[in-house]
Amino acid sequence: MYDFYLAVAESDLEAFGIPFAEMVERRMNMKPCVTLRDIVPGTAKYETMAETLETRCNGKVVFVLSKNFNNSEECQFLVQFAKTLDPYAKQQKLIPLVIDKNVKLPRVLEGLVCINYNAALRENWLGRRLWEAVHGGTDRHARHRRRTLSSPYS
Amino acid sequence: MQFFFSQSLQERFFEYDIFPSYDSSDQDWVTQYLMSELEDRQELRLCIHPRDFVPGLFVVDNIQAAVERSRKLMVLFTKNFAKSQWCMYELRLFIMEVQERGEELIVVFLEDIPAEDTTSEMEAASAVYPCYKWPDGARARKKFWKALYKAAIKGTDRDRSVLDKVLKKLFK
Repeated sequence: MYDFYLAVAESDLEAFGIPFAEMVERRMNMKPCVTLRDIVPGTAKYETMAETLETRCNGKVVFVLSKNFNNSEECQFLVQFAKTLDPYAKQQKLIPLVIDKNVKLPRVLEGLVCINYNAALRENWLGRRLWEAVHGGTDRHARHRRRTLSSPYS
Repeated sequence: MQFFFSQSLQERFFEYDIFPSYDSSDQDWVTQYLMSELEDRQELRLCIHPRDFVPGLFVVDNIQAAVERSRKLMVLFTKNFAKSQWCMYELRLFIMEVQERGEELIVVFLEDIPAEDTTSEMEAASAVYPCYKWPDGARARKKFWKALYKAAIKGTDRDRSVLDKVLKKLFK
């Protein structure tokens, strides 16, 4: 079982995909499924990817949005397929992770809140944002460090 | 003296104290000044969109949720703010929400904006609600934070202004 599927273009795999996956496993305690590493090559590649995504990754995908994303056939397929699992963006199944500036979001991901990789890394929010995105973010109240102001009547 | 209390607002629980709306290019100012002063020094809880918005959900859903969960709404006017579609959307939403609640929008000018760059909503907001201009100089900035903090805690348990008024009247 994986925590999420990492949809990364082949040309970004070596430079970003693999190191990122390793960092997530080591530092954030989550297990991503990376295509070339974890999917057994053979015929019916797309079917295997779709099945793995739906059954073994809980339908969660992190899309690595770079300049190369739109040129990758695999990623285009994954984006279209994953959208059918969460068409109204209610279950946080599709998580865009933007690593380059001025990247145009594919139409299917328009209007979604993205994680800006560079900004999050700089401000040290990356681990927390990714964790919340993958695990549903429902423990937001639990991790309140400071009490908010309350009314004098409560 | 008359005291008006909107019961529902007073009793509601808010996850955030302030939800500031600003253009992403002003993020550096927000991190360097707004967050360090209001979150670290004054221990208020701000809803900062690159940190607190939930990834994978629609931006509009996040904005709506943040508005409902924030006690005070703030806008940071800059030239970039005037050009941003999302900022205009948030401004409109804030104005509607603030009117419904019967409260005030906190309008902060980070720089002087020439008239031709200002939108009509920004003009209206700066005419109706009290504006705070980010100044130069340490002393002026200290006054700025004092005024902003006062606006942010109005009506909460840190706000002593009502209590002070009552005490003054009692012991006149």
